[in-house]
Amino acid sequence: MNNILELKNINKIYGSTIKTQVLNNINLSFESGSFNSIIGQSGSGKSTLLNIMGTLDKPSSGEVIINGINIARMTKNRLSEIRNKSIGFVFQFHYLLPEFTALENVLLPYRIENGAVTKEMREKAVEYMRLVGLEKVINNNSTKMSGGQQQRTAIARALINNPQIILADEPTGNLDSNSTETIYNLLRDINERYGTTFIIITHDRHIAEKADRIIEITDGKINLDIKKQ
Amino acid sequence: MEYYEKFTEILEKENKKEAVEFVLELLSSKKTDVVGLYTEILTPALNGMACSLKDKRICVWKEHVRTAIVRTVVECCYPYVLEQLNRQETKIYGKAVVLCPPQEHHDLGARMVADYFVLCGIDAVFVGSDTPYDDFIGAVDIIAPDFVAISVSNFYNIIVTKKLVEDLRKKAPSNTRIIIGGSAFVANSENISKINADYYAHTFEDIKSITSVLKEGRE
Repeated sequence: MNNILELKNINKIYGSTIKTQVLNNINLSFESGSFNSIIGQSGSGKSTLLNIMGTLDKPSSGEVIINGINIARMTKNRLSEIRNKSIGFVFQFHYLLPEFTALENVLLPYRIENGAVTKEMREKAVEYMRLVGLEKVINNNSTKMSGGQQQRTAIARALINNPQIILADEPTGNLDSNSTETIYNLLRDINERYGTTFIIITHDRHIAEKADRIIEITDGKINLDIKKQ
Repeated sequence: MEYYEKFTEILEKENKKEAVEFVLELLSSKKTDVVGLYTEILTPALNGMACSLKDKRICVWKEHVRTAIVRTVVECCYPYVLEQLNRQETKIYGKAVVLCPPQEHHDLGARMVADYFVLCGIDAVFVGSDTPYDDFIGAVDIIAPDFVAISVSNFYNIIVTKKLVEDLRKKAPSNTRIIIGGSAFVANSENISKINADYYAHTFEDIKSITSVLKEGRE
């Protein structure tokens, strides 16, 4: 299977006077359609790593290659385009805009990319809301939804541009165990249905152990990288 | 093969009494021995448990009931382990502890491995599932076994096993050998090299080969 995302010799150092090395020579590659989890203690560098993978942050040195293209050579606009079209993000906090309905929130990445929302795209957004089990609350404002519903809306939003990769940082961190199970099943369903590559940072053992691969980061280094099969 | 098929048929009916009687008859009539029973009948029966379409809602329930039956069968075999040991005139040469890391709940494979050690002349302490981290390290330090055998089924537990092995290296006597095994390594053999163990064991023959080194030195 081809690699959709590769990291080569990634280092990240914060500070100039007092330097803190957060990531130390990370080399990783992710197969297209794979379901991966990243674990590690707080401060181990896993969120920094995810931000670099998602082009939200730049490494101090090293290469990030998405679909065979080194992103260092991309212009800022091209990078934003890649980020919006190829990568979906799910964070611990949903970041839904409270002024908008659930459906309008889901359509936001499309509107940023294309402007006006077509009828087909609206139908597609409703379809994603159906997939996440929220077709009955599409017109609710996000503030009128439960934590689990808000997170499922955020997942539908991450899907709207058909990203090849979804990066999730503690997607179930604020949820109870029932909602966690629902979210996990949903992510796995999306992975199998659309072949979307998942890279999930999690503290939750039940999420991590169901991934096909677990990467443990300790003090900015890869301590262990294991695959189920 | 016919005994395996008969046993799985009994297991699918979840008939504990019949399962125990069937196995004890096989052993008492010498149609198989303990190693043959564990290797050719019980382990494949555990690994081959399937959930039929009509049972889908209670798959885990059924797996637990059937595993409990196999556990009873294994415990009933202990007199035959001792009988085989006496027949072989095997002396006890050393000591092993057989356990699972914290949060590993599948310990039946490890339980059978404990009997393999006994049959190889190694007194085995079976600690079982979900052994707390500090007890794990402390007990090995106190008991000073010749072998520590760690069984891992859930691949997530490879993570804690790696740390355990690193800590055992610091605390356990230098002549204690660490063995890893279990279905987490069977599913992906690349994971074996990621743990700094002395040996990987999958079969009775592996245990026999690993323990023979100790026996030769103490005969």
